[in-house]
Amino acid sequence: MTRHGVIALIPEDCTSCMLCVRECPTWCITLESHTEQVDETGARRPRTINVLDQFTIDYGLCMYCGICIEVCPFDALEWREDVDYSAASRVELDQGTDTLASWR
Amino acid sequence: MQVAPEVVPPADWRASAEAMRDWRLDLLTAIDRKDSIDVIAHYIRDGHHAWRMTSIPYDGALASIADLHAAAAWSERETSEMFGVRIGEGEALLRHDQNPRPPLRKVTPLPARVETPWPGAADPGDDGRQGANPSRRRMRSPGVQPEWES
Repeated sequence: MTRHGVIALIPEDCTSCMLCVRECPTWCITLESHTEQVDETGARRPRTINVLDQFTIDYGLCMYCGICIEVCPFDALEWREDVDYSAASRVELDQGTDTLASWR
Repeated sequence: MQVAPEVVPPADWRASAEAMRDWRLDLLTAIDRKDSIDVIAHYIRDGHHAWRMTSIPYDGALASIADLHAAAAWSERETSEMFGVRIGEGEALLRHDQNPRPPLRKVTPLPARVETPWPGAADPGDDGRQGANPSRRRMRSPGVQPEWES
C-alpha cells in the first residue's frame, strides 16, 4: 500500500474532467481549464479538447483521503511518499501544477 | 466486500446486539433519512463485517447496548447529540444544553458550505468567461440542501 505522503499530478494525463474537484470532501482542489479546437487530418470536423491551465491542491485543507486519486479515470493523480511542502504561511500551502508535477 | 445491513425493528435492537456479543462493535452511528433516523452498528470479527440497522422516528428513543458492547457508550452519546434522538440514558457529550439544531440533521444548515464558492461548480473547459455554457443548470455543491439557499 502506498504511503499517503503527497498527491502528485501528471499533467499530460489530466483531461480537466473535474471529477476530482467535485468528489473532494474538503474542497481543496481547484482546476482551471479552457477548450481548444484541434484539426486532425482525416477528421470531418475539428475536435474540441480541454486544456489544463492550472491545477491547485490546498494542502492546508487536504486531509489525504485519496478519493481524488481513486476517482481519476485517467490515473493523472498518484501518491508520492515525499512530504516536501512545508511553508512559512498559510497561502503558501497552495501547490500549483508545476510543484505537483515535480513530485511524480 | 460490501455486506448489506440487516434491518431489525427498534424493539429487537438489544437482542441483535446480544446475538453479536462475540463480535467487536466497530462503529455506531446514524443516517438522517429526512423522515426518520436510521441507527447503524458495524461489527467485525476475524475480518468479517456485519451491519445492523434500525429505524426510529425523529423524536424517537432506542435502548442502550452499552452494557453488551462497552464501545457503544461513547457512540450512543455522540449519535444522540448529533442526530437529536435518544439512545440510552447517557448525558450529552459536547454540549451542555439541549441543542435545538442537531448538527447532523439534514435540515440544519451548514453556512460555510452555502457561502464558500464550490470549486466543482466550474465545468471542464469553462475558463470563467461569461456565457461559456449558458444552458447548463448551476450545480449545487454536495451536501447543500435546496431549502438552505432560500
